[in-house]
Amino acid sequence: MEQLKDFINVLSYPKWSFTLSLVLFAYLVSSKRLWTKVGGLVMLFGGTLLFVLSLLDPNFRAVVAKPDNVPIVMMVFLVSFFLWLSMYKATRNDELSEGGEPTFEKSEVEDKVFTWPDLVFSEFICMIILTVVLVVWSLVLQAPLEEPANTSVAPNPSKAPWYFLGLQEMLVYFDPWMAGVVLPGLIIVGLMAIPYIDTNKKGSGYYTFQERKTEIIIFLFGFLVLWCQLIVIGTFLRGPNWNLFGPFEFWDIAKIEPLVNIDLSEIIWIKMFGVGLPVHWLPREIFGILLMMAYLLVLPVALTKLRFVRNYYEKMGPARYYVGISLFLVMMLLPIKMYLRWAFNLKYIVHIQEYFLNI
Amino acid sequence: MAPGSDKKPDRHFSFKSLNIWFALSSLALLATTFWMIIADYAKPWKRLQAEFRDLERQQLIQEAEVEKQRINEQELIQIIDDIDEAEIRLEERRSEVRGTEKTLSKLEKKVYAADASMRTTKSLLDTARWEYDRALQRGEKKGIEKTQARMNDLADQWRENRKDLELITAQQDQAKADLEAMRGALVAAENRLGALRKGLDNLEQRAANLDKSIDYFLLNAPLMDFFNPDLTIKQVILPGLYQDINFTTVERVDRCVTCHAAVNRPGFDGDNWTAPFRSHPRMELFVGSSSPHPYTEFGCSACHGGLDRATNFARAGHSPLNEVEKERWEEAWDWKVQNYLETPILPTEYSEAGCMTCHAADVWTPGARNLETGRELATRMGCFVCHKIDYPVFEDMPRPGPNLARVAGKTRPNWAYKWIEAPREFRPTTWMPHFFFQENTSSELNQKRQRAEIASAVAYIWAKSETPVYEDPPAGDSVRGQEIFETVGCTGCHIIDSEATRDDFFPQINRLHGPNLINTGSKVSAGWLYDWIRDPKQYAPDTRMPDLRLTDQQAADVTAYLMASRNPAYEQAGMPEIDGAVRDELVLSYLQNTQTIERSQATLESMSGHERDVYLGRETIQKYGCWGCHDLQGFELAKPIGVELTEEGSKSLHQFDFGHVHEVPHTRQDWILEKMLQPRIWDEGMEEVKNYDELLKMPNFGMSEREAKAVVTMVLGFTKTSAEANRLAGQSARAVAIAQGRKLITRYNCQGCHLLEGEGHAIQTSIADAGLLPPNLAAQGARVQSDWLFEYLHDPSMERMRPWLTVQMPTFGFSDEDINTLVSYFSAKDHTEAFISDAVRPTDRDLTVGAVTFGMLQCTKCHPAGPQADDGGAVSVGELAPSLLLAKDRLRHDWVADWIKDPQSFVPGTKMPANFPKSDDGTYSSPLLFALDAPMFASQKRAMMEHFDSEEELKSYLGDADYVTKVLRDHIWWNLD
Repeated sequence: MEQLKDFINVLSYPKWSFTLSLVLFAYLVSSKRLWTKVGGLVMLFGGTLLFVLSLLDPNFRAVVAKPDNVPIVMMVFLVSFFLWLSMYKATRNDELSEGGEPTFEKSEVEDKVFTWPDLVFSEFICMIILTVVLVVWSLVLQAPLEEPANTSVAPNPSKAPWYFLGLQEMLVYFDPWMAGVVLPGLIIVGLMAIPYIDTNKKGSGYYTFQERKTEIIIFLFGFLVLWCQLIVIGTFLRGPNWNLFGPFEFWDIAKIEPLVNIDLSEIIWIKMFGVGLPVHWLPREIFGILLMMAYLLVLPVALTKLRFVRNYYEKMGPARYYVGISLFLVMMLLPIKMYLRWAFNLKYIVHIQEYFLNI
Repeated sequence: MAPGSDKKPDRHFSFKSLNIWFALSSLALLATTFWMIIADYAKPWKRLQAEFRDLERQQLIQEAEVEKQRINEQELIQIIDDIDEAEIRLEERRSEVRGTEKTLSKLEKKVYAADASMRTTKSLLDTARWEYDRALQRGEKKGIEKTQARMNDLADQWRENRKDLELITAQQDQAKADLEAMRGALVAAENRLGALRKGLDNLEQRAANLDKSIDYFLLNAPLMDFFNPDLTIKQVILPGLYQDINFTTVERVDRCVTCHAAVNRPGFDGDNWTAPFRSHPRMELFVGSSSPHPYTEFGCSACHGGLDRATNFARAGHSPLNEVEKERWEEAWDWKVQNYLETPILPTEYSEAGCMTCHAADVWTPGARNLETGRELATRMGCFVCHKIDYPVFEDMPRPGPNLARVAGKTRPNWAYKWIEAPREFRPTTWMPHFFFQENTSSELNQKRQRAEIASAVAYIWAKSETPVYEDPPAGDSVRGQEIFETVGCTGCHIIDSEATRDDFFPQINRLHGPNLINTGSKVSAGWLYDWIRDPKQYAPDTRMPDLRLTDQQAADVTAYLMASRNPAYEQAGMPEIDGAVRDELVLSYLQNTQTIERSQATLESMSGHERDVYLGRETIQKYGCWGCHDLQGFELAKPIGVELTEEGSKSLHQFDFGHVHEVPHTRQDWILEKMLQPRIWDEGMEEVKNYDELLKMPNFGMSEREAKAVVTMVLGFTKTSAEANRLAGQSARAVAIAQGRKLITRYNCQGCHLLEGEGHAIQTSIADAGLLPPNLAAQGARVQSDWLFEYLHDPSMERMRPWLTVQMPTFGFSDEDINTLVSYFSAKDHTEAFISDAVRPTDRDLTVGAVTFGMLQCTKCHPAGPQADDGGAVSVGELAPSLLLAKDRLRHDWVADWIKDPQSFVPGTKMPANFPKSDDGTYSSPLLFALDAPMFASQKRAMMEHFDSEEELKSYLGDADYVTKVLRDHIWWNLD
């Protein structure tokens, strides 16, 4: 049992868990035979069972049952369930469409009912029930208020509110300027831009996967892998001194992890060329700058050579394509940087501390 | 379509089931709303207040029962009989009474009517007056006449009304008086009953006020309790005592009384009352409204700690006494550690630490016994030399250990080695702690390292020490030496007892001020000791050991006595074998702190063996901070090696490293306590993990548990400031003078011999007769002249007040500054001015009366007329008092008469008899008035009558205690010379 727990602890380190989640994500979007039907519910049930069994472990229980973390536990189950529900409906519709039949929603829409009472009354009842649930929740699980804050003693770990934990997790890999300003800004801009970039009119008013494959995959990657998963890591796996602890690991305040990260410039100039770092930032960081320029400026153009991308390019037109691909590439910077960190202890690709510009 | 019908094609949901869902969810919402209100209402403090209300009511009812028993049954029956009888009498005159009552009621109506019309007229009159005034201002002739006439009419009318009212009132008074006369007996009896039942009625009324009537339930019901509830949060705002919150400070608002309902009210003690419903202990000192710390000014949290505004048990910062209580609290109150609260409530056994919040500048806190002992211990153990403690009490304190600048002339290196290894082996009571061979340095390699460290430290000390040469002393008699040692005053600071432990002396440790002198013969050379006793300052100019002014022969005798105590093991021991490789490894590790590895190696190789020892010795002395207690050449600029403790008491819990120790409760006080008892405990299991120089190095003082707890009390008192300067004690010039004096008193251990501020006289364990003890110095500032005291402290040999004492005041060699501090201390303590004007010569009559009464009161029975004891002779030596011949030069003229009148008020327990009995109203009576007529005083009476016109006049003077004490003083001043 302890060995299994240790194994899971090791597995939960980001480099493994992130890789695993990428594999799982690939499975989710590629093969829907099993999980979008009852199989998905069985998996969800199995996961729940695993969760309940894990509660026997005191370390796991301490983290999961902390009142601050209860909403995240709920989030995990709710996101999983609604992912299954939407995909269940989408797959059903896709099958109907394949057989040339109208979608479920379309046939449903034939029957029309009045707004009152069917919609308003049922919404009102839902509102009441939701209020009851919230009141009962707040009574049963008291808000985790602590004693007055003390300026000289910060809690360890100091965690952002749960909805910002994804951002806080990004701080591990990026400069605050990137993780705290640029990336969150682009998330908002990107979400706002979606209606203008996504011109695929299919899927309006009904669930479908096949007709919006690329759009859904890109969105779910950003939402599930890069947002929800980072929140889960930040909530459950980050302990004292922001060190990573497996779900069954004791939060030992004395745990020490080596800090040996180096910049790209050091890798290239010192390790590869065997010379010292140039004094001026421009020659020093030129390789990182070129790399970033290639990534953000050359790659979008180069990608249009791929037939798959070419189709989109033609469909969307250059303006939409370049805005969309830029946003996508910036999003992909996060997993790329994570892997670079794990593989090469890479601190920054571009490190111009003279201008506080670090990527 | 009718509601409730079944699903129809234009309906998606069944209306009926929607209604059911709606009904059920609404009911659920209603239920949760009630739940919410009740959960919000059910505050634990309300339950506690209600509970206390019941308890207090029961108490009052019980007290009423007792009071009832107290009321005289006989008297009560008598009064009730009287009432009955008076009522019967009244009944007999019923028609008359009724008639008067009727008249009275009619008159009452008339009075009301007359009064009403008078008031109406008055208001009309006021209006008319204003109208007249307006008309005058406008200058309208017609208007002026009209309004003036109206005003005059109304004024007349008002006078009439008033006359009517006065007439009717007079009639009413008459009727009332008639009725009173008829009912007189009854009213008198009823008043008597009221007086008899006053206490009982009061108690019953108070009990009734606490009754839980329907009003109580309505006023305190949920949602109703905003009108005027009985159950409220009770708080006191404390200006100047603040709580440090983020970026600012706020005044404390203590709400403790919300639950601790009886804490600021006397009378709730005894076994019946348990926390939280108890009166505060010692209410004459704390919390009581006439105490120095009244509740309304000091509240609770400034002393006790905790979160002032909290009304929730778990939030208030309560500290459990032990694990059992902690578990009980967790169960009952959902208690948990408040990690971010800087000052949780002090556990009861440490609550004296709270005194430090305001009293730090007072240096002493008499009354806080544990804190005082902690301070005394810390001063002697020298906590402040390694740990910076920014408190006045440790400012300018001398190094606690002996000066080692000339130690090579005093003892031998092999003794020093063995001593440092384990000082308590040689002298169990020593303050010198154990630095070596502790729990975290027990491995074989570490033992070798420590032996090398000790040997090298000794090598360094000897390398830097001068080596004075002492000749052998003349032969002495150790029996006489012992007698001198035990009687001359050495025992105020020293003991010679191989069995004693430090804890035996707890809490009064004055006799451990100097070393326990066992085994002295194995430590020092006789020549050194002889020289040291005769003049300690020649060896160590900064020593606190005074000169007892012994003759050379006496010094030789004491030397012989002390040298006889020996421990041969310490004389035969040689220096141990030191592993050279281990020593070199240590030298190298120090060298590498400042040099490259290669350079260090080269440096090491260039050093001789002795050089390596001395180098390592220096580093070792720096590492362990030996220079903090001992004056050592080469460490003049060194900085304290320990953690600063100035705010240790409010250091947050997470900054205390408990290591791998889980048995000790993780609280601030337990961490400090364990650190005192086992300083290396937090290294448990870390000896092999840490580098040698990283291991904890605080030495072990061998404290007993109560010693450690006393020190913990003091350390917990070192908190961040939380009071404005005007709330702190010890700020006035007088308080500063007292604080400075107290520091000197501690430094020179005055309390080893003298009684000061109620503490001291430690020497009494070796001087059996209380009359032969060094003096109680209470009221010293009121008693003696400042310039006399200055001269005396400068050279006590100038005068001996009681030459028959064996113990004598030694010469400390105080600086003028120190003496002035002490003189100011005594003056400040007794609120006296430093200098007094010269006394005026009294009249012959006063001198005669003084001389006669002096004889009548037999003053010379105890006060010898001459400077020697045998001049008095009438009483035992212990009863003797100082010769009055010394009075004029020594005593304060303004004090002597007061002293004679009431000695106990100055020095409680003094042997000086109280000749002038004090009555309750604070006046004194004179015994001479009655003695005067006794036949034995006939001649004295005659002598005095020469100065008086009549016997009455003489008696009026002799009956006046103020006069008699004044002329006694004048006699002492002018006749005895």
